[in-house]
Amino acid sequence: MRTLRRGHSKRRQAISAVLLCAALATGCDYNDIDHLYIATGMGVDRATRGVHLSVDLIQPGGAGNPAAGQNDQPQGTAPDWIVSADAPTFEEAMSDLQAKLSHVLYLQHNALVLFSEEALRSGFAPIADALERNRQLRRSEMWVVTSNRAEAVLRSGHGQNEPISLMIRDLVDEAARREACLASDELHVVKALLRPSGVAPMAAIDLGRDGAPELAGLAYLRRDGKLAIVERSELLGAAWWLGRTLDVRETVRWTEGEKFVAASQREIGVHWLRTSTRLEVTGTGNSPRVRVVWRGTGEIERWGARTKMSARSFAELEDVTRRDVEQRLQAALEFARSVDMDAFGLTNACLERGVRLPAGGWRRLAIEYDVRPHIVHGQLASTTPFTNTAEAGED
Amino acid sequence: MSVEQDEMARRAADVAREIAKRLEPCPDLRVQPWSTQRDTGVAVWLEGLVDADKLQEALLALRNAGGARGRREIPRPGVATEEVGTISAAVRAVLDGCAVIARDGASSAQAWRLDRVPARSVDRSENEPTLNGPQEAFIESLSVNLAMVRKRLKSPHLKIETFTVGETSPCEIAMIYEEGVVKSDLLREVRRRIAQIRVDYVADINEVREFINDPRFSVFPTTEETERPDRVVAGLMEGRVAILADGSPTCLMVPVTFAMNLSSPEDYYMHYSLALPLRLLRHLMFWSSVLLPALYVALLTYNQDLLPTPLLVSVAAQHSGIPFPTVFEALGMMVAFEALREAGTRLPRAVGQSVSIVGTLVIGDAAVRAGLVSPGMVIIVSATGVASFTLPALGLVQAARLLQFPFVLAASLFGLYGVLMLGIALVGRMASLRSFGIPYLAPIAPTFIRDMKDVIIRAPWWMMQGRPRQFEAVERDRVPKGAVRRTPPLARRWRK
Repeated sequence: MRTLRRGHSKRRQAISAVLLCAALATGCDYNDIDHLYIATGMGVDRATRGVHLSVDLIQPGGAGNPAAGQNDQPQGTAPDWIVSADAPTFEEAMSDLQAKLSHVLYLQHNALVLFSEEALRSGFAPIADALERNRQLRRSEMWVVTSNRAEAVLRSGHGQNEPISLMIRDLVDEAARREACLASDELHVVKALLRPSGVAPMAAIDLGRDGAPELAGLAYLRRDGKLAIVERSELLGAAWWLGRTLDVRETVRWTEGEKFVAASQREIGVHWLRTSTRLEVTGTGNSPRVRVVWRGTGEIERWGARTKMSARSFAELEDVTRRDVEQRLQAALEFARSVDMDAFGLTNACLERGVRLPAGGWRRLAIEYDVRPHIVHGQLASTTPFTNTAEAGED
Repeated sequence: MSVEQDEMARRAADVAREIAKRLEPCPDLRVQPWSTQRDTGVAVWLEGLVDADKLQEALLALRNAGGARGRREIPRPGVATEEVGTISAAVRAVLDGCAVIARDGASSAQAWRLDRVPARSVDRSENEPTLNGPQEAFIESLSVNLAMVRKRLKSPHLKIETFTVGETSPCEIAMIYEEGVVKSDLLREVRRRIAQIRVDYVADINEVREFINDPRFSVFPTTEETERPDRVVAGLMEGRVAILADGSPTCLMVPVTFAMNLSSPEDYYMHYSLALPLRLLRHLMFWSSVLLPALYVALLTYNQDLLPTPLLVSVAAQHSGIPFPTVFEALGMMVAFEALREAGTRLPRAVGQSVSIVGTLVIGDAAVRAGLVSPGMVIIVSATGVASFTLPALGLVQAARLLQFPFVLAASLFGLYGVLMLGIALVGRMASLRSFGIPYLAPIAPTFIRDMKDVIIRAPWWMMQGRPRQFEAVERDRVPKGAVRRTPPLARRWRK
């Protein structure tokens, strides 16, 4: 009995010692919130001697901070401030930044990494490597591209009541809610880059006419740093290729009347409630074919045609819409081919079916389109006195 | 004291002198000679404890009766009397509120129970208020309290055993149980523990509680305290034992489990569907009252990455300019809150409420404006206080108040890891506790599936036909099987 008790006692002592050591080890991480400079965003630019890093730091007493109140701080104080540093490498730039700060640079709430086009083209791999190695950075941070200087975009946030990085993140998040391909968090970008196609879609932003950041389009980033940007006006086709969309709008041009006889172009506004696209690879190893299966459910938001809605006009509209969607998909593919970037993962899709394509083989793949638009709620389309019909004085 | 000295003297005046000698200085001791046609003697009593009018009436009746009947023994005046054969017994009787009637030449005296012990009337429960159900609460009189229990439980099997505890000032302790329901081992254990109490006097039932408690050094209440007779009766019918002490308005119920401390009498006086959210809320509030300040400190000093960014921005803004580290800010606020709570409790009710309001509104606001504490910390400490107020058992509230301090220290030293480790240790300790042999975390650990219907949820009464298995009641069913219909027919079916 005594031996048993001694054994229990020793085990208890050992467990206590391990727990105490583990607990004491955690004590090293003590950092009161007052002693942190919380970074919410990071800008990466090219510099003459390497990398130019800018971090967007929270200024706790800044305006717009709910806790700062309106009377405690002078009006106009920004909620954040930007600190920059140049260095030959990313790591050295981080060290230089820390040297400029009186408290610890805290990166775990970094929500955004904004790359300038130049920085990516001049050497994406070392930057990605540094970002991946940094344990403080979360894998959920958003990677965004700008054709401007990243620092300039970060410094553009005057008059905002929240840090500019969080504003950009929210901007992209909101866009990604509609077009899923814009959700360019680090995890997804890196995952896409490491796949056989080696191209990742990322959100692209730029400064608008009013000097505030706005969504510029979609960027294709290749592993070697090559970058191509799809303009916002051409975004829909690429977005459909890259997955689902919600709540997007398409303007379809409809030739009303008999062709060549009193035909007139009308615009129909279609509100796509939900669309989805998937790729199906068919055929053998030598001659694979990719079938693009597009399904969409939408409603007519604007009926700009003179024809009254009927089953026939509805069928015609669906046909026109189908052709329009196909054209947009084709145009998006043509753009990807023109910039030599397998942005839609055709190589990946083939490989998943066991078809290994030769280098650049994706460009020669035969593509079939299976597009089936489904228009619902047509009767809810409203006309106002300001439609074309009303202008013409007809009912 | 030798036996000879303790013997009753043959002369009544000597008896009175001896009693006075034992009690002196004692200005409220009264000695009054009495006489009948045949006998003489003295009456000795303490002013204030004896109803003087009744005494004079009784003495008058004694004189008349003694003269008329001419009997040698002291006639009984129609009040409860007791023979006392020694001076010590006479002194105890005097102290107990009796008038001692000594007669010349007699070898013993009589103690007439004419006590007029000051006591308050039965009032509403202040510590365990409910909106529905019975409202009355125990008072400081044991006989009244026993009557209140008997009034609710009109069972011939209701048994009351009394013990006298206290070497200097004896106090009557009553052990109440429902025979045929309660396990005999439990009764034996309760008797044994009460019999082992060695104390000079019993000021309150809390002294009894500390003597009979299972773990000597645990903050968790392993006996249930209540001032509600309805709760006592409910406990008795579950196979538990109630302990009452004379002079205390609180009743102890044993055994008790952790889950029972989180159930309120009101759960049984309202619709059963409401008990589920309320009990869930209380469980949540208990852990909140223990952990909330510690989690806040851990998140602000170690694990800032777990906070959402907008919240971190807000918290950082609140904390900028505060001259103290977060842990000292938290400890300071917690101590201040406890001080305010203590002040509110100790002061008269009207003043106490003012102190609470002034403390929370004025001092808290002033401290925030002065930049001594952050608004977030005020919110956290206040929320912790409010969370603890939702707990129905006072013992658990006090446990939570105590436990939050070590948790804050653990959080300040080791972050969430420290909170987690201390939490595991706490739950381990709770799992090892026993209340009169019953595991403290029953019926969750160990699991009694049948008893689960009255832990988180409160099943409808018609589903709770059995007594809780965890107390191993002798009679397992509340009513004979088949006596209660599960779905009482309320309406006749329509005929087609």
